[in-house]
Amino acid sequence: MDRSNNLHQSTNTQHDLYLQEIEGIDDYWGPTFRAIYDNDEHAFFQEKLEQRIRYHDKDIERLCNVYYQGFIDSIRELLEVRSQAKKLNTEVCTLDNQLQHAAESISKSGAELVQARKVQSNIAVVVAQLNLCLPVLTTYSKLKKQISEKRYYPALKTLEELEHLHLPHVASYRFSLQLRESIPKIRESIETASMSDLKDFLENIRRFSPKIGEVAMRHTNEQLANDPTLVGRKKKRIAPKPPGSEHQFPEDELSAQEMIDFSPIYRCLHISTVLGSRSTFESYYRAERTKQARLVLQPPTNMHESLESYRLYIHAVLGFFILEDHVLNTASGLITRAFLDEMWTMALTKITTALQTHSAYCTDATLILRIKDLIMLFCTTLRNYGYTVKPLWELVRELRDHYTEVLMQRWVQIFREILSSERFRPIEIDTQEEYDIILSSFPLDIDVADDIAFPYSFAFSSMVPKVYQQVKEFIYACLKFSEDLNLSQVEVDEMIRKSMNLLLTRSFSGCLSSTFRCPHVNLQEIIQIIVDTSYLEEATVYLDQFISNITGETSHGVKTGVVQGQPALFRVAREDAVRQICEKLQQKLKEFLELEAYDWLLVEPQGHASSFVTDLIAFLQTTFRSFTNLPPEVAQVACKSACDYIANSMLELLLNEEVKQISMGALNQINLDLLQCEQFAASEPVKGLQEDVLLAYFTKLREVLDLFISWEWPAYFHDYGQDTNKYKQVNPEIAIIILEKLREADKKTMFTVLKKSERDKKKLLETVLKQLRQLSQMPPGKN
Amino acid sequence: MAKTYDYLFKLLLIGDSGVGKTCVLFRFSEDAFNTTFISTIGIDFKIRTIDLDGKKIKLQIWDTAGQERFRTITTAYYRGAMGIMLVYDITNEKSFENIKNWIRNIEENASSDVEKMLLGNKCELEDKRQVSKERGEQLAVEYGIKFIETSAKASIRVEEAFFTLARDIKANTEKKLEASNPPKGGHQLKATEPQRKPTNWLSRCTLL
Repeated sequence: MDRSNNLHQSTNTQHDLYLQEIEGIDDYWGPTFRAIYDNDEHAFFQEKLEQRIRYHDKDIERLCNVYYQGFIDSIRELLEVRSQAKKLNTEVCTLDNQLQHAAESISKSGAELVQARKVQSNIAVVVAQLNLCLPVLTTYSKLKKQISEKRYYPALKTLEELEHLHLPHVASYRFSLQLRESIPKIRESIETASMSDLKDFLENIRRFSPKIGEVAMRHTNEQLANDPTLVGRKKKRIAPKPPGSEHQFPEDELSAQEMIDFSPIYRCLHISTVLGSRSTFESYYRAERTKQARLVLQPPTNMHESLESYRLYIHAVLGFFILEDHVLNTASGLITRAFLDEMWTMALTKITTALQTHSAYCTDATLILRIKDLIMLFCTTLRNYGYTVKPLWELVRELRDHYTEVLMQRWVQIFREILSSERFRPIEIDTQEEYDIILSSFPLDIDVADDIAFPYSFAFSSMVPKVYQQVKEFIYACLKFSEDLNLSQVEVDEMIRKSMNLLLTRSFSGCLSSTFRCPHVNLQEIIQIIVDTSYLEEATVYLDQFISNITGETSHGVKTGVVQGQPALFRVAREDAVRQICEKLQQKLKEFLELEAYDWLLVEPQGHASSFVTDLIAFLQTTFRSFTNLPPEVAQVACKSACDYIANSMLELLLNEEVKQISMGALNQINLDLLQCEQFAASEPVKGLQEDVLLAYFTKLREVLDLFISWEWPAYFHDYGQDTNKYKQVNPEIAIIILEKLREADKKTMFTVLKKSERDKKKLLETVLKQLRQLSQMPPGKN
Repeated sequence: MAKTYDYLFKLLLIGDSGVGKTCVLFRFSEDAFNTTFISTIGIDFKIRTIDLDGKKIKLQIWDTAGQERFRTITTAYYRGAMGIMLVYDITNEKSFENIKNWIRNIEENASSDVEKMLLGNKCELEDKRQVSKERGEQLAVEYGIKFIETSAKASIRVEEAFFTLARDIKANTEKKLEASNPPKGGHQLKATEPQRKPTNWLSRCTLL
C-alpha cells in the first residue's frame, strides 16, 4: 500500500502537467496525447479531464452571475440613447434644409464665374495665336509692297525672313501652307522681274553708251586742254573752249559712269546671289554683253562717208568699255579682269580693222585729220580707263601714211593744175608792187638791186613761186597730222622731211614728166622748166629752214649739205627735165636722120655734105645759140647726148642690114658728112666744153672711115690690140660687115673690068676678110 | 636702103610775132591747137608726109621766130627753103603791112625760084577783122603769089594751104627735072638729085 499510494501520487502530478500543456498551447496537442496514450492512462486522464471541465464550468457559472446585472443596466441605457439620437437626427435634417436654401444662389454665381473664367482663358489663347500670325501677314504685305516697288533685293530678304522666322510659328494654319507654297513662285517672279529690269538696263546702256563715250571724250579733251605739261609741249594748241560753252551740257558735272543708274545690275547681282543662281546670272550677263559688244563693234557700213558716223562708232565703243570697266570695279566679280581683257583684245582687233578698212576709203585729208583727232582722244580716254591701246597707235601710224598718201594725191592735183595752166614763160612785171609780191612769195637768193627798171623780168616762170607756196602748204598740212600725236620733234621733223621728199621726188616729178609727155611742150618750155627747177632747188635751203622753224629741230639738211641721203627734192624733177631736153633734141635729130637719102652705090661723092646733115648741124647750132637761158651744164649735157646720138646713128646706117652694098663713093660721102659733124663738134657749140670731148663721140666712126678710105690694113693688123693702134676702136666685126658690103658693091660695078690691078685688089680684099674673120673668132684679150 | 618718100620739100613759115605761125604748123602737123601763146625761140621744124598725085612727099616745115632778135638766125634758113608761107593776122593791120618787109627779106635771102604763098590767119575772128580779104587778095596779086585765109584754131583751110604750096613746088620741080634730064623712066632716086642741090646752102662751110 504505500507504494500504490505513491504511485498514485506521481500519476496525479503527471496529469496536471498535461493539462497545463493543453491549456497553455492552443494546438499541437499531438505529443501530449501521444504521451498520454503511450502510458495507457487515457482512461485515467479522461477522468481527470472531466474533473477539470467541471471545475471550469463552475467557474463560468459564477462569472455569469457576476456580469448579468451590468448587462441589464447597459440595455436600459442604450434604449435611452436611441431616443436621444432620434431627436438629434431631426434637428440636423432641419438645419440641412436651411443650409440648402441659403447656398443655392451662391452656387449659381459660382457656376457663372467658372464660365467667365473659361471664356477669359480662351480669349488669351486666341490673342497669343494672333500675335504669332500678325508678323507673317505684315511681312507678307511688306513683301508685296517691295515687289510692287521693284525693290527686289529687300523683297527677297523679307521673303527669307518670312520663310524662316515667321512661318514656322504658324505652321498649323492653312494660310501658312498657302504662303509656303507661294514662296518659290514669288522668288521666281522676283528673279524674272529683276532679269527684265536687267534687260531694260542693258538696253538702256546700249542706248546710252555713245553718250557716255562722248562725255568721257569731252572730259579727256578738257583735261588735256587744262594740262599745263601738255600745253607747253605744243606750240599751237586748239584754243580752249570759251567759258560760256562749259555750261552747255548740264551733265558735264557728272563723270561718264555717273550718268547711268547701275542699280539694276547690282540688284540683279544681289538677287541672283541670294537665289543661288549667280553663276547663271554671270554667264547670262557676260553672254549678253558679248553680244552687245559684237553689235557695238560692227561699224556702220557707210562709216567712211562722214566724220559723224566715225564719232558715233567710237563713242559707242568707248561708252561700252567705260561701262564695263565700271561694272568690273563695282559689281564684285560679275565680270573678271580676264574676261574684260579678252573682250577688249577681241574688240581692239575689230576696232582696228574697222577703222583701217573705212579710213582706207577716205580720200579727204581733212576728214582723215578729224578721224585721227578722234582716235587720239579715244586712245587717251581708253588709257585713262586702263585699256591698252597699242594697236591703235599702229593704226594712227598707218593712218598717217595714208594721210600723206592722200595729201600727195591732192598735191598731185594742185601741181597738175599749176602746170597745166602754166605757160612756162619768165615772169614779167611792171610795178614795184608786183615785184615785192613775187619776192615775198619766193625766197630769191640774190642781191636785190636798188633800182630795177620796169618792166622787169625774172628768170623763172610763175610756176616757181606757186610750187614753192604749195610745198609750204603741204608741209603745214603734214604738220597738222602730227599735232597731238605726242611725237618727238625729231620724229615730226623726220616725218615732214620724208613726206616732202616723197612729194617732190615722186609727185612733183611725176606731174612734170606728164607735162613733158604733152606733144605741144617744146624745147623752149622744157628749158624754162629746167631754169624753174634749178630755182626751186636753190630754194630747198629755205624750205629746210622753214621746216626747222616749225619743228624746232636744228636743220640738219643744211649742215650735211648734199651728202647722200639728203633728200633729192627738186633735183629729181630737174634731172628729169634735163633728160627730156636730150630726148626732145634726139627726137628732132631722129627726124633729120629719117630724111637721109644716101645713094649707097654712089661713084663719086658730091663734094659737099649731105643736105640732111647740114640742116641738122645748122639746126643744132641755131638751137644752142638761141636758148641763151639754158644753163651751161645742161647745154653741155644736151650737146653731148646729141653728138653721141648722131655718131651712133651714122654708124648704124653703115651697119644697117638692109643696106647690102656700099661703094667707096658712098663711104666718101659719109666721110664728108662726118667732117661736117666734126667741124661742129670742134666749134664749141656750147660754152665750157673741151673740143675733144664732143669729138670723142665721133672717134669710132672716124677710125672706121679712115681705115676704109686709107685702106691701111697692114697697119691695122700689125697694131691690132695695141694702144698705139690708130684704129683701136674698129673691131673686126664692124670691119667685116662693111668690107662685105664693099665687096658686094664691087661685084656689080666691076664685073666687066678684069684688069690685073682690080684682080689684085679683089684678092687683097678676100685676104683681109679672112684675117678679120680669124681675129673676130679669137677670144678677146688674147693679143 | 629703100627710100620712104619721093620728094622732100622744105617749107618756111615767116611773118610777124604772134600771127600764129606755130599754130598753123601745129594744126597741120598734129591736127591740134594750143591756146596758150608761146613765142617761138630760134627755129623749129615739123615733118609731115603727104600723098600728092600718087607721090609720097615729105614736107619739112620750118617754123621761125617772128621776133626781131632772132632775125639773123632765121634768115639763114631762107636759102634752103623751096616754099615760103608768108603769114599775117587778119585782126592785126600791122602784121599785114609788114608782109612787104618780109617779101623784101625773101628777095634778099632766098633763092629766086622759091614758091611763095600769102596766109591771112585767124579768119575765125571775123568781128575783130582789120584786114579785108580783098586787100589780102590784092597784095597777093601784086606779088604774083597765091593767097588763102586760114584759121589754125578753127581748122579752116590749113591743109589746103600747105597742099597748094606743095603741089606748086612739085610741078616746078618736075618741070625742071624734065628740062635737065629727059625722062628715062622710073628713076626716082636720081630724080631727087637736082632738086637737092640748091638746098645745100651751108655746103660752103664744109672743108671740101
